[in-house]
Amino acid sequence: MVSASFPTGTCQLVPNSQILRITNCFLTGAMTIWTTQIVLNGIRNPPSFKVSESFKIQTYSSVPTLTNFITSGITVQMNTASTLSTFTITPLDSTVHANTKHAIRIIHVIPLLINEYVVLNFDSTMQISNTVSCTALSGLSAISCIRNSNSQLKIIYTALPSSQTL
Amino acid sequence: MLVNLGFIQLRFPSSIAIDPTAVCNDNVTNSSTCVINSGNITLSINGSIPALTSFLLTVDKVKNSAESTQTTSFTIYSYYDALYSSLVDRLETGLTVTMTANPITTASVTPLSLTTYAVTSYTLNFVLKDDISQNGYI
Repeated sequence: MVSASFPTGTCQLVPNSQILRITNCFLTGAMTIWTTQIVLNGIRNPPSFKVSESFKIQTYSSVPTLTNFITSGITVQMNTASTLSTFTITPLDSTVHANTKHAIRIIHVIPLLINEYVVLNFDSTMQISNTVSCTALSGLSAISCIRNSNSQLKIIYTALPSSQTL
Repeated sequence: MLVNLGFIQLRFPSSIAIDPTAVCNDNVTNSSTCVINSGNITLSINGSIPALTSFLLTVDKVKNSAESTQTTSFTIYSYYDALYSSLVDRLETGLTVTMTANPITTASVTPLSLTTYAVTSYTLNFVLKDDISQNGYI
């Protein structure tokens, strides 16, 4: 639930997906304080480090007609990745030096899209085969794997996950 | 033809305000007297002005409309002599102006958390260029 605090008292927020209308602030008179700070609570951050599109701010008169606006240059960029809530890896055969399969279970915090991927770094004493292959068990209909190095595997979600539990 | 003591009267749209200390001038005759009174501009003629004379009237300290829409029309009336019954020419429609919205130049946004996909608070700071009128919104 989005909420806001505003310098001129209680305002009403009208959320519409990506648009917030701040209304009912100016019922008793015009707002003449031009330096404005609005605090919005309950906003979900973007899912990646990519620089966001610009926020857009527009003010309207009571008519309403557009009075002031800004449509560029107000961006955010994340610098901390969220952590996976669950990650387990289970070898089918726990015998030392055996060539075996590993079952990997991941619960993603952030919804994934097609062709997004996971990079797995294995312990340096383990070795990924040159002919490594991957099979989707549940939550996915298709994945592909690329061996980046002896201990690093890239798992690409080539189909949209049916759930975030994989 | 306007003769001595004739006058021209212009009325600005009600959404456009003229400061009481504003000054107006025209390019036709220095002997004309321009008076501003509550949005009305009266140009008194000292001498005579023939038909088809092109006027350039300048008025300072005019505050544009707060709305980015087309105004109602400016009106212009000319009178042959000092009497309102001596109306010669009039223009009551089609003389409008349309304002554009004022761009905000100072604005920033600061999330409380910079962790991807976290639910957090955002603080927006910006400096408006104009008042938000009663019942307006952001």
